[in-house]
Amino acid sequence: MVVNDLLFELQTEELPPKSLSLLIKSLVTNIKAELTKSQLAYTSVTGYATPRRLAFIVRDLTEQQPNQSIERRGPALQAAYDSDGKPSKALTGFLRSCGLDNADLLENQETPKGTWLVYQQHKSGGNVRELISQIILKSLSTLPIDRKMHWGASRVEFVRPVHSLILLYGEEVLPTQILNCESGRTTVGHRFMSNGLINIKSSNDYVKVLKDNYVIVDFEERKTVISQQLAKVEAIENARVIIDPELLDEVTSLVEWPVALSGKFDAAFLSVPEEALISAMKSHQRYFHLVDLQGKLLPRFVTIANIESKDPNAVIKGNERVISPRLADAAFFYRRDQQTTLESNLERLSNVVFQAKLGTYLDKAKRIAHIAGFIAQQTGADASLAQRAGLLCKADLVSAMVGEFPELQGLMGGYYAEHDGEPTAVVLAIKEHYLPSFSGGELPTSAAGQAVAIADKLDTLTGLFGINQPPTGSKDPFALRRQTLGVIRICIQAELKLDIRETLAVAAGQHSPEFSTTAVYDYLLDRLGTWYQDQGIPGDTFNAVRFSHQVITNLADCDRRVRSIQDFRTQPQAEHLIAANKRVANILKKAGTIDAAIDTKLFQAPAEIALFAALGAAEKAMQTQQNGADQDYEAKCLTLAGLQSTIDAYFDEVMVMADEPAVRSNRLATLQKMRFLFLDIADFSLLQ
Amino acid sequence: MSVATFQDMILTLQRYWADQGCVLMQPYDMEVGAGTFHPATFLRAIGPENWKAAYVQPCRRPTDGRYGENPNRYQYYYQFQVMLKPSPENIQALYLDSLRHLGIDPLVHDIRFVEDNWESPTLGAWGLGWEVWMDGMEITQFTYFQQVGGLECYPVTGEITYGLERLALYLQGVEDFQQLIWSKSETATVTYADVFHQYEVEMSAYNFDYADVKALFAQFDFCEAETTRLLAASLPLAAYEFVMKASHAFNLLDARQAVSVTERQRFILRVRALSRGVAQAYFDSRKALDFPLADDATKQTFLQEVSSGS
Repeated sequence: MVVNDLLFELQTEELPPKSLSLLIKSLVTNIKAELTKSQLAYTSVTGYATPRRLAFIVRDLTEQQPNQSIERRGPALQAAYDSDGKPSKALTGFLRSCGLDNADLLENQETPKGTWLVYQQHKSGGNVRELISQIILKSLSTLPIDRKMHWGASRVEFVRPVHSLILLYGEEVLPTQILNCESGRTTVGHRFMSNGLINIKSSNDYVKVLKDNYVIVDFEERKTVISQQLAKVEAIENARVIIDPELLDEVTSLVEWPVALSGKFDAAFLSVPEEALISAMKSHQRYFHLVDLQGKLLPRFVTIANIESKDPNAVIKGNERVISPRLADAAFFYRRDQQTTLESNLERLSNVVFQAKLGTYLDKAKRIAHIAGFIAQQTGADASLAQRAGLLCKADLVSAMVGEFPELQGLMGGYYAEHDGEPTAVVLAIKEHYLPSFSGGELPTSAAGQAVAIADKLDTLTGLFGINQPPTGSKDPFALRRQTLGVIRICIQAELKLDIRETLAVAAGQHSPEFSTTAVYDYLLDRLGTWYQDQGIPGDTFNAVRFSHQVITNLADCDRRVRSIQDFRTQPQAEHLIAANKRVANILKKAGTIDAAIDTKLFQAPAEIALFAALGAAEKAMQTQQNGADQDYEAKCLTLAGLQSTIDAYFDEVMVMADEPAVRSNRLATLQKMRFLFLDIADFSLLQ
Repeated sequence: MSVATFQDMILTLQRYWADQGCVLMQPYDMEVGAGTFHPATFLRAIGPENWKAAYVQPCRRPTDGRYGENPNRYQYYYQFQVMLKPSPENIQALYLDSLRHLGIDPLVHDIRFVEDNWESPTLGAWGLGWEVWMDGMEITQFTYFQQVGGLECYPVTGEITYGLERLALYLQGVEDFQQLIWSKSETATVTYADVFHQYEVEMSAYNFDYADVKALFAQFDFCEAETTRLLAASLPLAAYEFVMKASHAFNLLDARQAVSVTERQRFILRVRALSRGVAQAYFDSRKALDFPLADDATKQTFLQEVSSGS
């Protein structure tokens, strides 16, 4: 079987850096899928991507599709001929669809349902030379491109204008036309450091020839080169370069030949909050910033140039000249914002719509203040501080700085609150109220910060459920999933004494007395279950807690219960006790309502007396099993585990469904007592 | 040898693009936020007609005023605008050659095309392209128009917009617009500050502090009504002048922070509706003339695949 490597390169104008790695990954995935679909075997597909090219190499691509044999089933023999023995309509139709003139090539196939006519169609496999164009076109047409474009007077569309196309199979050019380009073996190197067209003989020299022409075609290799260069800068400057992985990806997508150059800016700018300086460097200039060994921002930056300049100092000087007015702008915004207080910004917040049906950000701020105050009261924090922070937490949305750098919202509010002379707790709460800003991200640390963070999120959550816009599988524009998880994590980590159901009701009530919290509460518990599953705690453990007699109101308490149950499941007694609970649950379900009180005089077997005594003792013990103010579920579970031998003995010796009705209901009442004792913590019958 | 003065730079670019077949136009004599507003770009980008033009356009962006204190941000500055329709295959190379003509050595400087897609909500227009960076500074906007005034662009216009002052900082090796040498003769050297500094300070004050908000709102309403009236009279070019005036009044109101965020969106939509009306009326007027500047093949493709113009 003939195999050869296939090289494809589309040489384009500069591609969008934020989607470059996605584009090449998708192209490779698509090509693999199309090759597989076409039954063209290969060993591997490697993608290459630079700002000016998308390429891939298929290793050991087979030249020929296998021959195919397809069995096609026609009409039943019975239905194939009419009474005169002439082919029926069903048969002639089938023959036509097979491209046959008569039935000579059909075979009889015996089945339990009768005899059928079948045709073994043989199709010889196609050649890669004929198939490859379609495979590539299909793969290109389903790339994830946000907006395709036209150029010139052509009607062709792609992510950016396309200039040339390489398509080599071994050393042979496979002639085709894709996106108006004739395939060939030439491309271009670096835009400035290489000259004219370069020839590629085969896939084997693609990477090397391009490197000779100052292009590192492999995305990951370029990324590594940049990382190594940044490490060198760290050594020279005796400082740390902060590498944001997203920025590294973007920068890798902006260069074909990376060269790290470091520059400096006027230290006077360090009086501006460093987050603003970092944003100016990162979002406008794609610079990496440097901090000293204590983590303090240095007046330095690193840019990744796309050239080995004849005069690197000219490039550095140029970059220094750019960053200075950028930082001057940040300083200008900072000074301008400080001329008004956050409080005086509130009026302008009434012009900013939060959500058409849920009012402006001023409305939201007032609601947050109220909810945060309620939360603070519950958790024993200072309610007036939480209210103040809640009211002011959105006021930086109308500041010039946040207008320019939206990612600084909250943070800038904190700086301005400090400048306005607000209490430290208010400053901190405003700063941290967006936390956690990503899944698994840092949580607010201050009591007021926690209150405002929860209040803000629950306001959004109850509001969107209230107007019937809950998140769906694909649509979650307000990031409700992440925000709900944020509330859960804050409550649990800070062990807040907060009734979440009541808080949801307060939050919903701020929107409208009509807004129900049933669906939101269920949504929150669903997210909580998912959160546990992500930590390896199975769904039945959480469900046992969720469907116990003790409704989940305090999330921190719920967490202690879930974790105790999870521990309990590893105990040797667990299996028997779970089985006993299942058995009792079944018995009680069949028995219906049981309202008889237990009458000790009706006990007959010693095991009955023993169980009753043990249940009484356990109940009494569990009432006092506490860790400070919190329930000690671990101790309670141990107590319950201690019941195992007594319960087992009971079922060995006692027939619950006794003939005498009084004895029977007395036994059922005893079992109910036992069941309730467990149900107070969790429904153990739900554990698998 | 790099170009020594601001005015020489303009002359060099004009000469270069004239040699590429561009019609050299003069600045439009009205306040605009960008060279794109000039009818030689905005209107000529519509329909199947070919067109190549280059011109200097002073631009006013009231919110960018810094009282002359920021080294490279002014509320009034110059763009050098090139529009090539259809965009030629070698448009990037043509642009880079223009930099060489200005004395920029691309083997010294780090020149890059960095994605920056353009959208003008008021013009109902968008395009894909880049800002061109030289050593990290944005010196040019480069855009392939995809839609203008709500109409699909075919053939596609390639637009190249040089920021003249920023480019001049490099060529002259200075840090601040004010230090730029505008002209130099044996007897006198005139700087950018000599020409513009006082103007920049006064206009920043006007934009931020003195512009009469009430009168500007009234002016906006008047321009809107005029545009509608002139469109009804099938006078798209006259109507377009009032769109430009309305747009500038809105920009001033924005600088005065007189427009709330919700209102802002409404104003943008109002200007956009006017731009769309003008674009359609201009298209209709050119169609009535049978698109005199179009070549046959393009015109046929346009009518069959893009728009029958109805």
